[in-house]
Amino acid sequence: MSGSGQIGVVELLIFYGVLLLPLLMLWCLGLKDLVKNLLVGVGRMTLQLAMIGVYLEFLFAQNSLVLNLLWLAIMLLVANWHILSRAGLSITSLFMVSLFSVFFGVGLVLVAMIVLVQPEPWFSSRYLIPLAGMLLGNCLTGNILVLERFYSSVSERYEQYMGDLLLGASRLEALQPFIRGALKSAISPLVATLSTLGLVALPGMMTGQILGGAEPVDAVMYQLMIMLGIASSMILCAIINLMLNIRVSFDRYGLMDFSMIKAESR
Amino acid sequence: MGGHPVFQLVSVGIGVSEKALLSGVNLTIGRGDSFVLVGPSGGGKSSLLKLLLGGFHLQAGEFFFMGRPVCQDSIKHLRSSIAYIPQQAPSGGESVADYLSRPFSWKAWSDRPFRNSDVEYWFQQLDLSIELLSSSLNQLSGGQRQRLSMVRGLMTGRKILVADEPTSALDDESCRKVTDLLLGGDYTVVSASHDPRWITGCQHSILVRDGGVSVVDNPIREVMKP
Repeated sequence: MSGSGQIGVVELLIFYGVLLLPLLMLWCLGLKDLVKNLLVGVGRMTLQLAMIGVYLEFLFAQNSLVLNLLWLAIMLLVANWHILSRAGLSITSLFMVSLFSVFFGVGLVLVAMIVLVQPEPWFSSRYLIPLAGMLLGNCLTGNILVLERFYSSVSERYEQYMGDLLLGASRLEALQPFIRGALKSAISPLVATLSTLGLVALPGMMTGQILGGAEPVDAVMYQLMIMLGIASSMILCAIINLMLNIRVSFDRYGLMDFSMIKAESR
Repeated sequence: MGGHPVFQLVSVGIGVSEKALLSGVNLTIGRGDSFVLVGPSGGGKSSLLKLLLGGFHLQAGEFFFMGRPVCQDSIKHLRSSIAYIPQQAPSGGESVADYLSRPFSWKAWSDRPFRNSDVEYWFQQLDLSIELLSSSLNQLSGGQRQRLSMVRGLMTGRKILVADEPTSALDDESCRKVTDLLLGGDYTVVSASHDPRWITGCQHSILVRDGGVSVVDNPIREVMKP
């Protein structure tokens, strides 16, 4: 990443000026709140990425197994906390099942990716951390969607669920339409992304790699691995998480424990 | 089964979390009886009906079905012995045919095949046109959907009915058909209703109010009260 094409700090700061015109237009349209939120968002993004950049430099320099695994664990915990809170669910009751699902789905695919890439050493931060980050980030959205959709549709149409359950359906039989609906709404965006990738937009990671100096074909190979991994781990996580959630949130009589849903999102 | 009552509640209390909705409920319902629960909305009628199907947790007391206490192990038997007709008519984009046949994919119904002749029979009994089968639930009127949920329950062939407001959306003609069919003596019926046309057809009336239940002789007066 040296020579022509490298971005200097001062130049980048000047580049922030590309936001001036759009912000001015929003301001003139009377969207002052939006301008404020946008500025806060840009500020947060800058700070977070700067911090993570510095931290990753440190992590890469150390390249220690323990440190890498510790960082992975923190990413996993934060992602899991985020899933439950964004889906409006009880963090205390569902933390462990959700954590297990994400750990399982991401872990399995991560191992497969490490086997494919064969970095030296295998726990090399340069590969382990970004790959895990890509997988976790996508599992995060998938899990939030599937859980939020599932719990809200069951509570909205609880009478319909009861109608089937009390007529003799098992818990899973009566929940089947809700399970299918939730999985569909969580996985459809992924399918749409896969089908248009490369045609409409070049994926961010690939663009980054090419800009960073990689050969396009190499970048494409990485991108394919990443997309396959994302698809696999996201679907795995979503299904396992949903099934385990049902085990925790519905009792042996098939009745739902409404305390799993936080009051404000009910 | 012999002489055992179909349902027997002994000092039963139900409620959500700590708050008691009903307490001290004693009720015995025998084979062939028809019961109607009357009383103000929110008084616990629907909850009491759901309790009979294990759709509500017992807070206190004992609940027997056919002489056997209802517990986790017997809940399947209980639910697959009763035709439940819920208060909320079915809705959504599902087709009528799918709605009616879906229960036949459940394990509890696996010994019964889905027969078009059954559908035709019950549609005729309840004055529904067979052409509705290909429509989606949303295209039907409230009265049609209400009768549809009845067909779904009756197609099970079960003789015990738990029906929540079965006639609320029906015109006089359909209502007469429904009461003749369900209250004609073939079925054991436990129901909740505000509808005088249905209430007068039931043998026993129970007033559910102020956290308890009591027998009433003139239920229509209770319904008409402001």
